[in-house]
Amino acid sequence: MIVFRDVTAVVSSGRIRNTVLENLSLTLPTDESLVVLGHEGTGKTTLIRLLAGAVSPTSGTIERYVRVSYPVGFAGGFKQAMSVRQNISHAALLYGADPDEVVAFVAAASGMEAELHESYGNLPPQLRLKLAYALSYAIPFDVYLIDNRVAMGDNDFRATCEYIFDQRMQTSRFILTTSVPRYAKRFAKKGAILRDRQILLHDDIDRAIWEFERLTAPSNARERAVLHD
Amino acid sequence: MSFLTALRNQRRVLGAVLRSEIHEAIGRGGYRLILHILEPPFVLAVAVTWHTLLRIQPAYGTSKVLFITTGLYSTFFFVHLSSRFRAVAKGSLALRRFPLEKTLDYVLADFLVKVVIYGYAAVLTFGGIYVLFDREAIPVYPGLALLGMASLLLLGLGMGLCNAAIEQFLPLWRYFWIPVARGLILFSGVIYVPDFLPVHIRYLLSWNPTLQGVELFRMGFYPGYPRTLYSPGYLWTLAIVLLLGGLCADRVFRRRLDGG
Repeated sequence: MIVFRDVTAVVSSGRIRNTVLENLSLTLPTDESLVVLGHEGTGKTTLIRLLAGAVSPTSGTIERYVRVSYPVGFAGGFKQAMSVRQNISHAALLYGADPDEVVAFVAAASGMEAELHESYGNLPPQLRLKLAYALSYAIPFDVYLIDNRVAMGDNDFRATCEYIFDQRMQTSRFILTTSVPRYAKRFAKKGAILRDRQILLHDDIDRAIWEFERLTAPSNARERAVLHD
Repeated sequence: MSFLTALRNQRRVLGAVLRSEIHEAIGRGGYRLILHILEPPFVLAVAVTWHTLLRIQPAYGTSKVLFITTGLYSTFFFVHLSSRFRAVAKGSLALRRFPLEKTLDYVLADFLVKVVIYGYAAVLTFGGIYVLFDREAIPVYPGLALLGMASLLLLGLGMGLCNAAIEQFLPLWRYFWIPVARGLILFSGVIYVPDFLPVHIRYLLSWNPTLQGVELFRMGFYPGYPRTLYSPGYLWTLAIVLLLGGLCADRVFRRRLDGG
């Protein structure tokens, strides 16, 4: 489980400050996968970063009692001057995985056997994307944190990622944030809603979706009224 | 999570970060590492050549090369350590790291890499002096020399951590600190013996912690080196206070330092 104790998270972007969470005390269960629904701008990405430990809350604490991944697809930790193999080994060592196993997994999943000794700085963007996603799933975590997308890239690689994702979910769980309800229902049985600086848990994903759409409906109605006028 | 588990996790993370820092230090073909090792001897060669051309006699002992090296080398470490952690501790860099990697991990790893590199440079430099100039280049009291170096390393680490925290709020701080740090070399007894100066000047100089470290380092090489100014209580207290202050600053401003 992941425990939020009186957590407040304020994100600053220049002079703009956005409060994503305010005095939140909550226990997120991690025995089952969870989808967190939220509109654009409610702080879904920030929530994922908070869960990963990439940012610290402004106040309060987040306690993790499971091995939590970094955001799936995160490519910011790669060092330009190091080779692909060295970067993969670095991430594996960081998270306590076997470097050789992780290198073999990533090479097989991304088809990058020939590029292992290349400098990461020389990789084209498409290969960097593949590397980031393959590495995310290569390291065994208890909970994977996914910001909206399980996979990216070309069709073959996305199919590979989705297959790996399904395999991983037999032994691990995930927390996925999205603003698309139908996407949520495809992946999990439990849901939560990120709204008004709080997270509202629901044991049933259908209930969470229904609640999310109900909360969405008034703003949609106002928008239709404005367009009509 | 128990303390031992947390300690194991920290050791694992620090080990991974240290490996990546070593890779960065080596760079492609090892040229960067070689440059790091050769930089201190090069700076010393320039200083010694300058003094030789001006026919300046050594302020203590029989070898000006050894005397200048014992002063310049030790302050060199302090200046570099205190001035270069800001590059490691930048908040923007924190966004380009995995979540487990924290600023303090990189600062400590960078420190350890520099200690090893400068250690190799010390062997190269003093070994070269021993072979070419002066058989007294091997310290008579190696323990004192090591203590002197350790004190300057701690001072450098502590000041570097403090500088990294200060610079998050005052970006122009680096333009103040770097000249100050380099200026400290002039007031650290690098090319003179502070004990031979007038009393009132000695008193002022004695407040410079790097001078205290240089005095201690030199005591390891020169058995009869004057030690009137040396104050172990002041030196080690300040080193520990700076180190603790830097660690506290990292803890207090961690969110900002980690790009939050």
